[in-house]
Amino acid sequence: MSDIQIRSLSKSFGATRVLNGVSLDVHDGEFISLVGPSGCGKSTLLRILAGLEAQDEGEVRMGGERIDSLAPGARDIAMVFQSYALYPHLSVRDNIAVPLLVRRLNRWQRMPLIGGWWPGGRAIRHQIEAEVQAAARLLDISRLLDRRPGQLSGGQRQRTALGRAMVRRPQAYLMDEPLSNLDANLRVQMRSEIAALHRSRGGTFVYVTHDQTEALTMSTRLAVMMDGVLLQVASPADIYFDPVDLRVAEFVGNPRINLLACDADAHGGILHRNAALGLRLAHRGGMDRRVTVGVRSEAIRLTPRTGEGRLGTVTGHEHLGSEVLVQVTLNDGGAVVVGRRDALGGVPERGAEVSVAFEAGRVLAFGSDGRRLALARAPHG
Amino acid sequence: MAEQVRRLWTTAGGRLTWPGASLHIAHALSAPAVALMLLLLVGPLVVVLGLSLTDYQLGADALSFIGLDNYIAMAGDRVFWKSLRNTAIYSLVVVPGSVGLGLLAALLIHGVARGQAVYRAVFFLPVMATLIAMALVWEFMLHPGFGLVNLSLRSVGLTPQNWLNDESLALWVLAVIGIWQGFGFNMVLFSAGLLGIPRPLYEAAAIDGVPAGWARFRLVTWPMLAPVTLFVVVVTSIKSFQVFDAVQVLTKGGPNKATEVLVYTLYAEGFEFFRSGYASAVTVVFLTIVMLISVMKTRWLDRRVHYT
Repeated sequence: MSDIQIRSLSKSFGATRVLNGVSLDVHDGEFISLVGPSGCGKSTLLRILAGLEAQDEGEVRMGGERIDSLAPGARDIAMVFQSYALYPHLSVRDNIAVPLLVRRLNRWQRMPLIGGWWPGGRAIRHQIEAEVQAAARLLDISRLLDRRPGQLSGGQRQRTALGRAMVRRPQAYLMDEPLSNLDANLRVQMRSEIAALHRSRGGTFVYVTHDQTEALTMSTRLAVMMDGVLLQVASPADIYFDPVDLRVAEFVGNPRINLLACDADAHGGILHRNAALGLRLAHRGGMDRRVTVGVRSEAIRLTPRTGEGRLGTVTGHEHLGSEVLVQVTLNDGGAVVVGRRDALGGVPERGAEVSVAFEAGRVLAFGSDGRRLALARAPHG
Repeated sequence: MAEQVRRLWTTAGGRLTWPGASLHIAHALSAPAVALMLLLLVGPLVVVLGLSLTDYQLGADALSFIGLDNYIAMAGDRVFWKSLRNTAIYSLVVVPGSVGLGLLAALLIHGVARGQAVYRAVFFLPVMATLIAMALVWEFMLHPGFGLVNLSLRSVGLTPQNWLNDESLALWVLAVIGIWQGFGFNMVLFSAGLLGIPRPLYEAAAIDGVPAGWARFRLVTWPMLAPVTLFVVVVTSIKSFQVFDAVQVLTKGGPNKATEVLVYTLYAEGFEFFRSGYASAVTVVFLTIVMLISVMKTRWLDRRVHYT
């Protein structure tokens, strides 16, 4: 079993608290992404899992066993680095073979010259060679086995690093922004390949990235981190449609979620610039009167000005190919919202007046502390 | 080349008045550098080569061409062979000694948490101090009667030695002084090399299960230091072939030519016996050896230590 339990991990570098009581359960065989802006502590968390960094407090268990005091090599994990960290003087073959050579050969069998003659050494080396070739085939780098890392492209280096991680069949794979040094096209391709590897090879994947698209497309679950705290751990759909925190809603989604600064009246009705939005908080009362309303761009309906909702003026376009992002400045208050239209479905001209309406059920409300507030079910006038 | 220069010239909007005009300009512009190089680097070399074929004596009004006689004399000169052999032995001791010690010191300093700068400065002291002055200190320390070394040996009951006057010991003593003087410089170069090794390589090694210590040194540190090591070995070899000042101050090539080294021989021939022609021939041999070391580095070794 390779489920990982992380219990109230804390870590400070000097006066900076990088992790602040993080607890997380990673299920056996799942692909979980740690996402968040740079400096949120996600890489530190991964490095503590790997054993490259020691936590100040808390514990890490894998399959029920405490592993947080074991050396990195003694944990059944592999890691892929952002910089690939390939040994530059070794061929691709030898790079991939290192974890096996170290673990299976004894000191004498590893010796450069006599190693081949030491009893048992040759048979083990044959076996390792076969496994290296199998891994290389899987990653489509068989014809590169004799090259050195310096002779490879970025993508090929990344595959070699993946090969070195996979060849040992560890229980858990830790990946630290493995695709961020690749160009955009290759990144998309490697994304699906890594996801496919996860499906075919199994094992628990913990994947660190600051790229929300990567996280959303590859993972079974996302763990969104900010300022050393885990904000939400959920499936990609839940993170996107049902964020529990304003910061999660802001971080995930492209274009950014539209936010309107609003107030709540005594009955829980939500007002924007003193005009009712037609929304009501489920639990009125409380001291909190400031409410932030969030609507994703695809939940914004733009219709000719005779339609329902608020009035706004189109102030900009952004073409994305199949879709167009339409920037609308609301007439009362000047807040800017971004809506999405099918590129072929007729896009309102710049300067045109449009009605802006929010799709029922797609509006999110957050309190002044950033926490999600429930809205009353029944829509009303 | 000329074609490229011409094209640059035209694309830059210049007027081309006659074919090859730009070439003349290129030659004119590089002339000062070429002249200086000829005057300061190639010139003396040619003069030495020429002198080595003559019987010139320092201060003499005339000289005559004697062909390869100097070289033939050298081949039969017992002192020259002794000197060449001593220089080789000295280098074979000093190069591994000061490279190895430099690497060891760099690794140890790299491993300590505090005071790295202090350690580096201390080990670098002998490099900065003039060897002539330091050699005097060594002379006191090695004095057979009241030297610190012999006093120490005596106090623990060991036999004192006549360090610099014992034929079988003197060259080794000089080699130890050479190591002492040179390893700090190598340590600094190795320290810089160690700082340049990317940390993720060590982390990858840790995760791959490579045990800390020797195995990790073999897998990461040593190969990553290879370019620095090559440079250090070449520089140290050349420097050890040039050993002179300690010999001049401490032994003057003695006792009984036991510490006669190449540069000392050419100095003695040239400026004590005034046989400049012969000294030039020795110089040519010396330069050939040093050049061979450099050629070996660029031709063959460079390709094996850079991994891109």
